[in-house]
Amino acid sequence: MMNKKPTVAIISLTACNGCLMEIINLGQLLKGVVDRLQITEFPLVRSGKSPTKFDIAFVEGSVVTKENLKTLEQLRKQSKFLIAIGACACIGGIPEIKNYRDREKLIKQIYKSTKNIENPLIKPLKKYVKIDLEIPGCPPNKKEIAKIIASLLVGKIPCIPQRPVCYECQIREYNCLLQEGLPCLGSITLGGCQAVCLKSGEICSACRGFLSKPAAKNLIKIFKKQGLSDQDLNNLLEKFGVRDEFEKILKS
Amino acid sequence: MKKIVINHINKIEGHAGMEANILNGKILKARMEVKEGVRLIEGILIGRPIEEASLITARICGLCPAVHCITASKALEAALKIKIPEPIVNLRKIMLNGQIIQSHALHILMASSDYLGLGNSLDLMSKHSAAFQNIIKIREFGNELIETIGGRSVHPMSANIGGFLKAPNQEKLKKLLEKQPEILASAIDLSDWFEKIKINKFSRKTEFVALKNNKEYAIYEGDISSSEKLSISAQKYNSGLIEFQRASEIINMVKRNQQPYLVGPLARLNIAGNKLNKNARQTMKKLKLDLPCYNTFHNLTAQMIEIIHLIEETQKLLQKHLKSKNKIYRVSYKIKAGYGVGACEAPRGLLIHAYQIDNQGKIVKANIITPTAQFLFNLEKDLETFIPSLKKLSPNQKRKKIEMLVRAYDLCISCAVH
Repeated sequence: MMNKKPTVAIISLTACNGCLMEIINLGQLLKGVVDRLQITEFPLVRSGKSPTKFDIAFVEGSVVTKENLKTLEQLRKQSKFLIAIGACACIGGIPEIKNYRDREKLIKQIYKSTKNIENPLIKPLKKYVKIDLEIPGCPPNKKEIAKIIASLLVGKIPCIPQRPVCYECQIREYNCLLQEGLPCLGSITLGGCQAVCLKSGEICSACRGFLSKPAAKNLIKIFKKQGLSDQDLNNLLEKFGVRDEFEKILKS
Repeated sequence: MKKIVINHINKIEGHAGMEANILNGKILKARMEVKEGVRLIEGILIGRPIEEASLITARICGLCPAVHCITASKALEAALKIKIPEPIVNLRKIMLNGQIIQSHALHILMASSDYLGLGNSLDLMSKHSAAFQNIIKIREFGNELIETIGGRSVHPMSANIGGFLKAPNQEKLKKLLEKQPEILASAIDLSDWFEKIKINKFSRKTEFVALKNNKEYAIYEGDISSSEKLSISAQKYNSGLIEFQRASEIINMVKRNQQPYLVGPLARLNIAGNKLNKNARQTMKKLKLDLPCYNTFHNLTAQMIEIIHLIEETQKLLQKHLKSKNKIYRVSYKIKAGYGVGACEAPRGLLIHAYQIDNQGKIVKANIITPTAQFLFNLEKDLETFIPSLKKLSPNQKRKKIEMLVRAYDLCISCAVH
């Protein structure tokens, strides 16, 4: 699919740069990646003029400003294969929490003057342009990023297996927090993170988005039995912006 | 009137430009233009459970998430009036060391390329491969410290109110301690390479602000102190540091007595340089950094020195932890209403979190003051002094020099705006 050394752009919109950090955190592996790719646009680490066409583009973050939208639309036009990377780009992520609140009120808590400050609803990038591949997670797993790049290099479109976080949690024999009475979303969340939160004793909050056919109604029954209030459930689902998605699933 | 405009400055974290107005060769005003979108992090925290603060504020910044986790936890512990025992404090200090080590190493990679005539920092890989390997090794060590204790290097999840959700793996900590001498050697090796970099000349007197305590080179705790007699507890931060917003700008900047001040590695060295560890002190001598130092270009040198100091410090802390028989990872707490402030030294300088919470354990109000928000005003004043000295240079050279000064600050725009 690609010519010999694909040209690559690594761009961030409004973001924390954590996804880009995971690329840089490839560390020793980074050399292999840099040798096999021609990274021509990567403002975090390079300056100077760059070409206007890319074989592969990675984009992290959310569209908050009009400038962000322009960057995204232009990147789409310039790129053969556009990859949304991280929870903000794929499912809305932490910034989407404000969608569920009165966001005009929120902004006034922070700024004396809110003139000229853009404060739109937060949407996944696929709502704005066609996205060819999503690498989920907050942050994404760097081993998964490396695997995806390796697979693109041999001309294969990578695909993330439809397995829940629970699968990875169980084979590692971590404590099941759902059985311990905590509201863990691992059973309906797309795995591939090696259940890293469970390893630390933290519940899964679905930062990688849901499986394509999640057993959400069953999970709700368990949560209700545990005595989880509607407000606490909403809080949990809002954290990475999947409340809207979850409500859609329940209705279907 | 002439204008110098730089729309986007590369090799910094986030989106920012600069504009300077010049009349008859004299600069009237320099402004940093922040072009990041706002995520309203302080707003979205309102009404949410206090345990989420460390997880949500970590997402302010992918370069220094661990320090946001720990500062949020400290602030909430102050609100709940919980005392954190020393074993937990020590583990938090190791995490902060890891955070600063890896962030500084990345910035040395980003900013040194200017001095080496490389546009692309990744070109160090082929053209200065030994230095590049050292930087990667040092960063990985820093990341492993955070990961082993916090669960993950970017957005750790184990560090929260009261301590850690899970005890760190002792075998891994032992291995990190065994690795420490090799990493220290790499850092000293890197400082030999760094010695060849000729840092730009510049000087403008300013006030330095950092945490200070009598025991150590303060990273985790201390009073907010300055080179000009400021000394206040974190709880009273807003009696000395005043936030302000200029018309139609998206950043709440900070000033002291109407004046700008500097936070970060160079400010810390100026305030507590006498508390550095042995190798770091030797490195400071070798790199010819004399205190007080008012050349902000030397922020980069200060980062090199701090890397060495913190690698040395990490050895002491790891030894103390591994030897200790009294291993506590978490203290329990009762929810009650209150107000609390936490302050830590982030890679780029003083970081403050302040929270008001209710008796249900929900956040009522949040205020977060980041290092970049504090030093942007100082950077503008530096630019106003620096740009007129570039009169004889071509527009292209001028631009390069201006960008180098901006980069020396190691801006984090995502933190500044959040």
